[in-house]
Amino acid sequence: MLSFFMTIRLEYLKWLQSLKISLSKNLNYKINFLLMMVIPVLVYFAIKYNLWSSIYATNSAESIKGYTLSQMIEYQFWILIFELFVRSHFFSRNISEDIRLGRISVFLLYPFGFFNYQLSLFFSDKLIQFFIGIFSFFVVVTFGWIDIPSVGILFRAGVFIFMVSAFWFFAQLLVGFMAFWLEETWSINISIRFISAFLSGFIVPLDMYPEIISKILLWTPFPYLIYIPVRILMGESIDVVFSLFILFIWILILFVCIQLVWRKGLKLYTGAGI
Amino acid sequence: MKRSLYKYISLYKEFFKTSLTEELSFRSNFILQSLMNIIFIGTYFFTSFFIFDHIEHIGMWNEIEFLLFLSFALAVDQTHYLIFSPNFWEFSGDVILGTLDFQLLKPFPTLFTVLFRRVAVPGILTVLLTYSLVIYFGIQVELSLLVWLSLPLCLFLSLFLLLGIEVLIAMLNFFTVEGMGINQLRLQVQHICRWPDFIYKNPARIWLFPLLAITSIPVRWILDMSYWSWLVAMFFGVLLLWFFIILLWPKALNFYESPSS
Repeated sequence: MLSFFMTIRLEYLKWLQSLKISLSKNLNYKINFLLMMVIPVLVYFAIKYNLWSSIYATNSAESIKGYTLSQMIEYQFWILIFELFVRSHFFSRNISEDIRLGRISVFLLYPFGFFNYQLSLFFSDKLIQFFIGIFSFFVVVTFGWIDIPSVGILFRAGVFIFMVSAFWFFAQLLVGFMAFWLEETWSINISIRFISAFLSGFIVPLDMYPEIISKILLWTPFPYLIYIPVRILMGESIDVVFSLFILFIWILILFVCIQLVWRKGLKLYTGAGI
Repeated sequence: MKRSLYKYISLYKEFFKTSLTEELSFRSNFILQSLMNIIFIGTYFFTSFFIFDHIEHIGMWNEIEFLLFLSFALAVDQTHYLIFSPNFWEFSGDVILGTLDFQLLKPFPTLFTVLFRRVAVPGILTVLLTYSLVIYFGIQVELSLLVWLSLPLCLFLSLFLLLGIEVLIAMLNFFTVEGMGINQLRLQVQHICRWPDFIYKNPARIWLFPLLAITSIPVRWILDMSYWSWLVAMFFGVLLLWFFIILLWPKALNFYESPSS
């Protein structure tokens, strides 16, 4: 019994230390962190806000595909908040560098595995982003740009934030593990970013896409990364259970792929510099 | 003068050859990068198509005029990616690791070797693609002969205005410990100038004008020749900016502390 508690305590200490190291790493380079995590989201928001305002003004349109200007702006504000919660760091780049430079060798020997270490880095990032997201939410609400949703909606959005963050964590991990075969993985990572921004409703709400494309997209993970959670936050009635189920299936697929890729990759791995 | 120009051209030839050899050694990476650029261009065009399914104008431009703007903006972007982009990422690393020492020791101006030493060869394909798109949409809007002839100058001005602004941002690397954030800032400049100036409201439009001018002024001239004075002003603006950079660069270098020596 005592040894069981000792093991739990040891595990807890390992997680705590890794989390602390990662937090201090991020907070040591505060300006860098802000420039990487916050500024891009704000710039994108500013572009979309101006673009849609200009589109509505020059086309003298009351509504475009059911969206009035204020609804479109509200949609973009919710994307801003949601992105600040779920935006993921350049994990895959670090992972592929670790693999290429042979740095994962130490994790194969340490009593704290590579996957656990990456997970602790992810948690520390999420912790900082949680505060950034909450702060931004209060700023946006205080200025009256969006209304505070009901507790039920906030809870559903919270579940989506968790699931979408998990999706990105696994996706980044999978891309990072490609470094067992490829020299560079950043182009895959960036391509996924472009595709997901395009197919997730980041710039244009998905109901503006041709109907056949919108229908097909519902079976992919993309709409659930931004469009669906944002529509929920806007108070639309969406089948949350179905949406979460599809997202869960994709996370599961990613998880299985990661296990396979990790096992196969490790067989190919040569620890450089040992 | 001729001799010194020849020296620079032969050095650039060597840079290009080295980059090509390096890129072709990792063929999968070469293909992935080309694919990434095509996806990037595709997402911009399809987004525009889907928007124009529901509207007729963005600002004062119709769909074809807007697509010409987009093609021009992406042509500038891809040319920048091909010639300059990898050098900015490498420069950040050099400042942090102290490997900038090697550039300082070379018998060429540091700014030249810093900006030109690496070529993103996979960008060739997308540069050709975007230039073709500019020509295609140029034919659609029936550009005059004078405008066709001025296209290389427009591209050159846009490219060097973008590059100048990015060099000013990159100088911030001398004052930071980690360069990723500075490069992110540079990428945001590129995002902003991929949209026409008239979508922005004042005061954002005034504050961001140097960035918006990168693509908006040349395309305004391409579509309406009465904007010739804007293009002339841009020409002198670019000259002034580079004069300022040449003065500022040695001063910024003074802040470089080589960690390796």
